[in-house]
Amino acid sequence: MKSNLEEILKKIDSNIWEIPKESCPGMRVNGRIYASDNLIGKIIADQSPKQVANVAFLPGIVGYSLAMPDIHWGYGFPIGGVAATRLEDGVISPGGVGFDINCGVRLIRSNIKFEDIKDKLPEIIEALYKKIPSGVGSEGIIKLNFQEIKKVMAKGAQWAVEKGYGEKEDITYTEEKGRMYQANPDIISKKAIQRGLSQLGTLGSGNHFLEVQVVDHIYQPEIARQLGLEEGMITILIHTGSRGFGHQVCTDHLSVMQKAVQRYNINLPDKQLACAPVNSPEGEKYYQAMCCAANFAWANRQCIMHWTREVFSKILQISSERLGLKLIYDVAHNIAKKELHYYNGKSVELCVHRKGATRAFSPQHPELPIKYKNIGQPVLIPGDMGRFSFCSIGTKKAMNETFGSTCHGAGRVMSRGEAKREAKNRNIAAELKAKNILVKARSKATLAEEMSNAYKDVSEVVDVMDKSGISKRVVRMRPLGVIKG
Amino acid sequence: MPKEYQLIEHMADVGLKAFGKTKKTLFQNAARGMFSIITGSSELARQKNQQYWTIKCDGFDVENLLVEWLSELLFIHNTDFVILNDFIIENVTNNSLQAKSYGIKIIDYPYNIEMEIKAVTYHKLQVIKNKKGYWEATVIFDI
Repeated sequence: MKSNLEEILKKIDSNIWEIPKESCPGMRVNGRIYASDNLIGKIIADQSPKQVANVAFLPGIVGYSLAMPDIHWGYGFPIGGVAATRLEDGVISPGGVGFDINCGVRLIRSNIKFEDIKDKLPEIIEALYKKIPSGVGSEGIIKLNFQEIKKVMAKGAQWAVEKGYGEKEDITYTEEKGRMYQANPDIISKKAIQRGLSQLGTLGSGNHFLEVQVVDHIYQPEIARQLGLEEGMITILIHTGSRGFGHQVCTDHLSVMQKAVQRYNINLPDKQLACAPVNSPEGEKYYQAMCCAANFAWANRQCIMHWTREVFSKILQISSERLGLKLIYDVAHNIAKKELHYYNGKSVELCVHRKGATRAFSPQHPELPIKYKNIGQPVLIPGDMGRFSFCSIGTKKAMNETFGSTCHGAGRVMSRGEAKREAKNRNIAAELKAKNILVKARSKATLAEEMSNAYKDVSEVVDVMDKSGISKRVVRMRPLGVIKG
Repeated sequence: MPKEYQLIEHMADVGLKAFGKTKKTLFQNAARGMFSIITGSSELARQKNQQYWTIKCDGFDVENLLVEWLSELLFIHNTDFVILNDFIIENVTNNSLQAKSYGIKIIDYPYNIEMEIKAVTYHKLQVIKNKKGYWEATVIFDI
């Protein structure tokens, strides 16, 4: 590929940039990046458009190799990348999902107003921090055995609800109803099982968090009302994934895929893009294993939500029911899905990889719960711990342009090392406290790595998707208290 | 003699360049480098009576073998809750490795754990013998 990205990238609309396939021999489709003039500069600086071009090498890719405005340099796929492949002659790539399979977000509403809990907030944050295991190698309260973890893999969030960690209604408002039926626990390695046994119901480390927030701005009052969100309302956002279990599933299958690339004679510019035909034994096994990890992640977020309800109820001395702690929605942002899309004039089943991208289905989509049929799928976009998070809504345009996908967060602009050096003589927790944000973290290093200026401004990212008509902003939430690993 | 290893910065991840006069030292240094990321470079010399793990790995080439080796160490770190601090490579070819790794329980480890490495990636993975005849490996981790 030519090295000068400024010359290669063609602006084709106010917020869309294209990488013509002619710019790099081997690209099967054009690349397309959603970004504003300001964001594209940052995107070029980290060279991630090259990874958009690399993804366009995948056999059977259709439409475009897509990237959302939160794109940043990843390994293999860029973070913020979307690629759809044909089932009959296309490939599935574990690198297009990532190690943290079904890393995702869930948003919980409440009947509580900020004023009601202002004084109790430190106590709530402290209690949540104590109750929910977080940090490097955190072990959970739930102890599974080999039989029980297989049930988690098969049933996902539904397992958690059956065990008493939540309410039946939670399932309705979870992507895929918290369970992908293609999961096959019998093919999961002993190693993955061993890593998963003690990690269900844990937050982990890095950018994962639990945040208590307040709705501070409403963009679309009618849709907000239908979602059950209003200004001043306390919300809770949980961001975590499949923990060591998912990491091991990905590791196991990447090794298999390295061989598959040779076996099926696939030409790729980066080994981390390793893949196999969707319908090959390697491709099918990966998909079944990925579904197990996705289910594990949904069970994980479900359990954490349950304990969050318990903590609020205990501290405020009000029943969870009266507190109205209801799930708005749960979305995955590291996943591959076999989905029906209208492409080239007909309805086709495609394998949609979303690596740091969120599903954003339009109104009337059959996958949506009845309550959201007329408004579209809620899209949850967390920001960094010092700035806002957003709830947007999927659109018809997303179905037409991005295989029903949108952005997933802010996107890094600083490496973790750079962030640590930048934060060396600063007290990040004190800076956040000055902005009325309480933060509890196991490690100071995590706070430094995750500080606000290590990330793009999420508002700018969300704005690009809103102006492009891909996902429309509904409400903005401001952080009040954050728990990190 | 080049350094044993050095860290590489990567936007969302972190990487490592490891060096070795022989393939054995290369694999040993790559392991030490990976645990230096986990512990924030707080290396601890092997103590008396430390527990050890016997490791056998196979790979279809030397690069795949390096990923398998480091992934195996991560697995032990994550499931036995230990920091591995000494690595004796008994035998290594391009396709197989036998080693002993000494470790200390995380609860007994005197320093903080700085970072969780999720996995070893194949991105930019390279194992070469450079012009001076030294072995050199590049590996990026997902954190």
